[in-house]
Amino acid sequence: MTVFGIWLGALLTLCIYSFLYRDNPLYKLAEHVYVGISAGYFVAQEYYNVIYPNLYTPLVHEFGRKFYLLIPGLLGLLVFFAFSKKLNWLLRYPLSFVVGMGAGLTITAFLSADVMAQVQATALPLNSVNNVLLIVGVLATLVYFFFSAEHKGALGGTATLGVWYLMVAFGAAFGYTVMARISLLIGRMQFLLGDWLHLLK
Amino acid sequence: MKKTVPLIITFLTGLYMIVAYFVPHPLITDSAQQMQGWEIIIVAFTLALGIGNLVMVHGEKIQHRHEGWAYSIVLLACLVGMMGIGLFCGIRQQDRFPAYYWLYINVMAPLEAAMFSLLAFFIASAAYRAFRARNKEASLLLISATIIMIGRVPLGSWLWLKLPWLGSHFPHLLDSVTQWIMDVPNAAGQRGIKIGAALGAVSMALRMMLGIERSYLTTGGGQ
Amino acid sequence: MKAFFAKLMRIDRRWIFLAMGLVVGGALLSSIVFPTLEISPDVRTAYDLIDRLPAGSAVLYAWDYDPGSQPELYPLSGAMLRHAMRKDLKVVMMGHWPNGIPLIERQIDEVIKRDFPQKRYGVDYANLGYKSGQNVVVITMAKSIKDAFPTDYYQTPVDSLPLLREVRSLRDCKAIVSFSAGDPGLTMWIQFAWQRFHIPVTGGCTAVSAPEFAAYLQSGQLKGLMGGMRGAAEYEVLVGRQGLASIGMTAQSLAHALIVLFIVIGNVAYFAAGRRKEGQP
Repeated sequence: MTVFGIWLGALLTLCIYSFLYRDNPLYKLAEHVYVGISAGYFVAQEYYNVIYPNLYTPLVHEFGRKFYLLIPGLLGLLVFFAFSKKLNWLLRYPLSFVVGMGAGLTITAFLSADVMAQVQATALPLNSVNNVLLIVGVLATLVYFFFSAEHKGALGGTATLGVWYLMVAFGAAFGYTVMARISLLIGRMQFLLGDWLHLLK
Repeated sequence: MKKTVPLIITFLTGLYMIVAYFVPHPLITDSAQQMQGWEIIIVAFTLALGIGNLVMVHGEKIQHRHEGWAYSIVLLACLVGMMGIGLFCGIRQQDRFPAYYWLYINVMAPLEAAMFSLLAFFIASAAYRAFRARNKEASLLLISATIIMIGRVPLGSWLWLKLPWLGSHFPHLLDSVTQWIMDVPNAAGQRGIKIGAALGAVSMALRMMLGIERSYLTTGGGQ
Repeated sequence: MKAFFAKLMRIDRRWIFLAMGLVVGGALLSSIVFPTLEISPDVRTAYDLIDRLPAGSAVLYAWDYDPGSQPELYPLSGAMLRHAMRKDLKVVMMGHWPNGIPLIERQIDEVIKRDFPQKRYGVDYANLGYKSGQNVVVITMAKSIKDAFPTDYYQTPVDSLPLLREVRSLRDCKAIVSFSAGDPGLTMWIQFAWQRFHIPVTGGCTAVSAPEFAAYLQSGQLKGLMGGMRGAAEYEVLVGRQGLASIGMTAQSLAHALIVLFIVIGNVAYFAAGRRKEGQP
């Protein structure tokens, strides 16, 4: 990073941090610069990483073998009809292709990895306290999410146990979330105090 | 035509992906592979929708001089500038004019990192103002969170070792309890959530394939 | 006294922000160092997976994060890249998050070109860049990397790179390592690369998502995990090179202590002030 670049990064960081005192024009400016630059960045990345190597180059240099790529190319161009009041229904064709593929892949992936494999992993031998606690916890949590029957009696008691397991899980999630957020601040502080002000060894 | 054909496309492409999972015949897998290659290209175009929407919203703001329209000019200028630099000068560090890479490292990355780092301050404020042990469940959540927060940093181990008797007789107890919370009750709760969420996702995917869920077909003013 | 607690509950949040900033900044500037980190079993598992691979094995490293998660994942990806280079592994790099792709170039400069100048691009490592499509990219790569990535990030046809003539699909990789800030990321690699093609998956994630992977770790679908800055610091200890994650652990510790203090003060003030309200006629 050049010295000018570091100073620019530091000043932009401080503009964002000025929001902590109160909303102000410097923060708004930095925010809009970020959104604009990110959007422009994104277009260039998509072009050079996807459109150019996967569509443009094969069509231009290997049209005889890859002419069928005209289909996804045309479907992709239909996307831009989203901005036409009369023809925006044409957007449905590429979207339905993407949504259909996504749906088909989701069904197999989720059923395999997140249902069957997880259920299989819960079928543990009852030879340790931890195994018993894990099995009971998974069942109790699943019972809690079963809302087709009223949570009373034995079902209610099991659901309550499920809530207790969930509270421990959410507590762990909160603890880790705190860790994550603070790490982000540490990263910025390392940049400001180290790279910018050279105060860190 | 306007609704029926897209619904048929959704159903057939989804079904084909499921068939390709179970049928390893090259005819099926090769054609599924082709379709997947097409999807990579189409998704790149659909992502441009968001950009187009951004331009429309801010363009309208400038046109009608709504509050903050000057910032919209800045936004659009940065968008066009970065896009132009990227498309015409290249996106890589070793390109002849690596302005795109320079802007990424010195403007975009610091801004993004700074925006996300604001969350540290807000979570501190939330911990002070909102995290209350109002009932048994909230207390359990609070206790679990505190053990994790202290147990997962070196300070926790250091403080634990300083405790009289416990620190000397059970030096690894805090680490073990922290790991146990993650491996047993947390894993059980997360697994229950995961199975439930997966069944929900599968049912939503099926509804989309069968044409019961049609919200993705809503058009008008961009997606 | 109770009026004091009631006032304490209404404190301007900017004082809280200031306290957090001062604690983190002060910790970084100080020379306080806490004892060496205990290495957790999940990090040890991930380290061993890479460490036990024979020299010349191919691995895929996926930079599935952006600058917003850089403090947690950049030190980890650097440490793991260093580990792979030291073990003479062949590293194929790519990413599913377009915002994080230039970080691959930066990391190549900081780790490989600086400390392993004998490693050759296209032979020992290659950067494929980004591709849209998420899970579709994984499935496509599992059959043929060239079908998803006809060229690398530098527009060089993959056929002309010796590494990618050897590593033709994901199935030629002995492990997949994802540095994951969310979706697409580790979950997607587990669901498609491990579950469908049985390629071992490990990696790091932001601390926010670490608890959800406990289920995958217990089931064996995920072979080890580095969660957050703590996980990155542990991996840095294992590769024997202190980096930004290790340096940040003191600040992390003190900031956590501050948060716990805020929770305690907030609850004490809440209950103390609450009793006053109950006692009033």
